[in-house]
Amino acid sequence: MKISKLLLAAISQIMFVSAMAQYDASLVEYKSSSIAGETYSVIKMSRKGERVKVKYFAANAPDGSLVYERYQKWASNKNVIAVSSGTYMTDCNARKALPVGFCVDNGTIVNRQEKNGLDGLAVVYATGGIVASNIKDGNLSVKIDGQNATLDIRNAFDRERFLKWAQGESATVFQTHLFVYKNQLKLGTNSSPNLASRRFLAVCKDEDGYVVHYIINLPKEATIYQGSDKAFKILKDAEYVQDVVFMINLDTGCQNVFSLFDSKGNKVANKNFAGDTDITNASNLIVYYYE
Amino acid sequence: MRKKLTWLVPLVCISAVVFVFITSAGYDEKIAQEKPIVPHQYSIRLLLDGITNEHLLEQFPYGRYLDSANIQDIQSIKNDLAVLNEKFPGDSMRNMQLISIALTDSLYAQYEKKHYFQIFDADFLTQLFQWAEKFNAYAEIEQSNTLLYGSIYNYWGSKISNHLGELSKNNSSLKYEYKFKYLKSKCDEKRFSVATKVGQVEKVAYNLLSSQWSHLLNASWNQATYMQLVVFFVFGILTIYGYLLIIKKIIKRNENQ
Repeated sequence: MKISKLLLAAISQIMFVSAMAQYDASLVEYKSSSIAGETYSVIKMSRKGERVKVKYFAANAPDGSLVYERYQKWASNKNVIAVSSGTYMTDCNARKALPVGFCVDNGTIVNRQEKNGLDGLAVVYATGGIVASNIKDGNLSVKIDGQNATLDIRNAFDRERFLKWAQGESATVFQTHLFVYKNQLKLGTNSSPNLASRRFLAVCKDEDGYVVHYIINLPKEATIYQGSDKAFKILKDAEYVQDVVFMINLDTGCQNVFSLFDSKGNKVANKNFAGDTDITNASNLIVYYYE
Repeated sequence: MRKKLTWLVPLVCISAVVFVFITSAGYDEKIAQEKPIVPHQYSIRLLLDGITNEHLLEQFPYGRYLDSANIQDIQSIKNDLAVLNEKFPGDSMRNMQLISIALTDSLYAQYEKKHYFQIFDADFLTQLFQWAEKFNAYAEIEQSNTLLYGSIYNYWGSKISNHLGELSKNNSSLKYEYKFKYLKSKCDEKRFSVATKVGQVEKVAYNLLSSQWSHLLNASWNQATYMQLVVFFVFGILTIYGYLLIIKKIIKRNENQ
């Protein structure tokens, strides 16, 4: 009798804990480590079963709500895993800043400018997936009126077709630096010499072909080339990733927002999983959540 | 007298620097007016002789078209498209693309030759924007040609805003010029956001004003060179030493009293 009571209590305790859990811990791993004496942190999120999803808040809402307000309202009933600033911003003041480069938020045009030098075009789907393509390759595939179309958005006419597609599909699109594409480091040593802490989003495939997302945070100041080279090496040599589909930049400039939550929904206190800017100063946010 | 002069010299120097900075900024507020539409006769038909349907986009003489066409006049552009549709029926999308290439990449190549996009020619850029923004209105009114008009509008908006961003990167004081601010505002208004270079001093000022202390401290610490850190520490130690001496002197004076 006593044993059955104990068992029941244990089961109810497990059920209570799992009901409290924000996400399935087997899909999300995080660690803080060091390579060549330099500290870095990695969040690894598996898209197996498509339970881990991405959401992008590209700009303030048309009603004037700021990005962080949009995020907080949305997150009130979501199991958030991690949140980070997204692409570069046009101004340090989040109230008037827009994302740098071409951007569409849920079908609403945020920035029409195709920014020179930012080769990555990321498309965030309502289903929680994200893909990025290399603008320089000129082979962006979309379905227009039920037909597959390959667009070169460097060409004005194709860019217009893409814009109309994004509006029609209520897609979220943003332009960013593309550092790795199809296992190739795209940056040259002659890139910007500015020193800053760096953060990257890499989408990879594991040995079983499942999509795995990584956020790699490098708190130590580095040039953009040094940072992306280090992050690529971490993926290859420390995470043993075979296939890096793409790796894009996450902003750590005027907006350096970064937070990680454990599987119980508590904010991880380790400073290697934290940015130094308050979320109220975010101009755009990329959020990982569990559903 | 000597004391007065000691103050006067730095004051004159600072005034001279401020004077040079103020006088070198552009304060001309006269904005270029829209170009008038002057009708002239020409026909695109003459340019289509000998061109095959299959190779229309490659064989079309874009340069000669731009030299003769009336690109300021939307009716004229529509007539050109109508002629293309008449001569090459069945692919109106491709015909639209041809006019789009002519009025975007080919036109840009002509401006490049004239070096318009290597300097800040405010009047040229203003008139170009005035011309391009009309295409946005045409796109809303004439849905059948929305891809053509939209492509021209977005192309030039992007080009101008990118150009302004590049210019401000090379010349940070340019963003205080009236005509630059006018063009930037126009671009921003139409959602071609210009990312102007934010200097270190401006970043510091912004972070101070918005009380971003942790970011400010973190960035200052991380971006400082070893030399700056050494100077900072020496300065800090000297300051503390100075305070200690003052405290010591006060204590000693109190003891003597």
